[in-house]
Amino acid sequence: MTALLELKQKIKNLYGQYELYLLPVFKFVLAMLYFTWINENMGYMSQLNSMFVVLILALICSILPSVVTVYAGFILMILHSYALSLETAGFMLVLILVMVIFFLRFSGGQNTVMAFTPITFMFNVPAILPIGSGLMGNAVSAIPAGCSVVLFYFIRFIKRQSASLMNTDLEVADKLQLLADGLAQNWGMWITVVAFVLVVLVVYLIRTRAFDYAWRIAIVAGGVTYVLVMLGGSLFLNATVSMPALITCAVLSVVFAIILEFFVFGGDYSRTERLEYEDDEYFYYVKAVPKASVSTSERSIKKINGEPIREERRSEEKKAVSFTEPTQAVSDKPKKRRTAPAPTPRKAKPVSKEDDMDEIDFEKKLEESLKDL
Amino acid sequence: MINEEKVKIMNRLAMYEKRGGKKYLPVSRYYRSDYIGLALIKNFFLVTIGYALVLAAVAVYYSEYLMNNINQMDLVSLGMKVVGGYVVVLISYSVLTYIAYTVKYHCAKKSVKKYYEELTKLERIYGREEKKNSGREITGGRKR
Repeated sequence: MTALLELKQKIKNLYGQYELYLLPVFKFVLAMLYFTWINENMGYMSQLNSMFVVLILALICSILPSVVTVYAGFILMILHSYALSLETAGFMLVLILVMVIFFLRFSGGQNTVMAFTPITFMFNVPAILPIGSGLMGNAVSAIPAGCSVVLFYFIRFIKRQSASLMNTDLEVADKLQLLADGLAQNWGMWITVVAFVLVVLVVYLIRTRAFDYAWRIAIVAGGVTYVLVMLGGSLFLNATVSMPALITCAVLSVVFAIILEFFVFGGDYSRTERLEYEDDEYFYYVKAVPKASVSTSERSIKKINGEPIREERRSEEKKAVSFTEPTQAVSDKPKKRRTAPAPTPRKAKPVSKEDDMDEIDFEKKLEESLKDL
Repeated sequence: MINEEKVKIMNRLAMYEKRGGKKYLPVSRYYRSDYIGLALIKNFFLVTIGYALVLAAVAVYYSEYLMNNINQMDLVSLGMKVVGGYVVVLISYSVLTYIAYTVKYHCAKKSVKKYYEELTKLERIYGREEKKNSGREITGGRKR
């Protein structure tokens, strides 16, 4: 555990040191994964379906706020849909506009969650998204989480139906009907939407309570809620959900979430303190949970001389007391000292400064305060 | 000579402006009624557009049925339903917007309160310095 804490501290220090460069790199990686996923699943417009475009877009997104990545993804989706057919592009545009107007405009900064959804599905751990959102965001992040599931399933549906959507013999109304049915009657999608929204709310609700181990309980409760909703939904709505895959996904998500909790929260409940005090306006009942931390060992190189330290010290003490003493007698480097001007009582101090920084500072301060007096 | 207290305050102010201030300072410059009123007007237009889009999508979905049965349909009652639906959606979204923007405004005001307190402190320091300088000039002190 100590080693882990040390690792956490090291990572934190490293991030603190290079935050300026690391943040754009993270944004770049996120945008790259998101756009690559869109191109892999849609890729109908050959001009956009190239690594070069993805790289440029990701580079632009890395220096802009992370919400821009989501909106750039929307534009990519619409353009790819346009290459497939005009109806698909129209449907996609209406779907995105309705989402933005009715839902996403209330969630503001939390909309970045949408870029993470395809990535979690790509690694077969979708449950980590609502659990992570509940842990790191707030209840409003349930909105983008739900919307992103709708978009994810819709894109997969388009991929499956791309042949019929490209068919020019099919009428416009038929294509739109196909798309609308694919969206409205995709029960697997709706169950996942409900599961995501509920998990975000449950995790956020439990995580913000004041009881001990609230974060860990929230994670497990989130995992259990996900499994229960998916199972219940599959029973009532006749959607096929693979049981072993679901359980594995939930367990993996819980494990990932616990790792996330270790890095983001890491409270040590065994040292919890409860305080009670008051001021003019309020009574305070404070529960203070200290952060589990360990001081990282820093390697320092010490030069060990052959000369005995005791003698050196004694001579230093001597120096410190006698200000008027000539510098040559004190210093280790007589050559330098000889060139120095004749020491006055005030200037005699810097001599020992070379040997012991703290001591001379203290003396200087003492002398200054005495002077003031 | 550098006024250390002034530098400290200015540093705190700059830090706030860079972090939370970016989000909250523009909000706090509005009156509450203006801020929420503007949000409601924006909400009205957005909901109207959104509702029209959804309505159009539904109409296209049922286009075949509509084409065949348009003559037998009670268009007045259908129109009433559409308008009723619009009013319900508009009211519910207006209430939602009102709540969301009231909370946002309250948060912004609370957040910028300390910022303005610090700003007042800084202003007081500047006032003191100015007084000192002008006093010097009157008494024939060194002119800058």
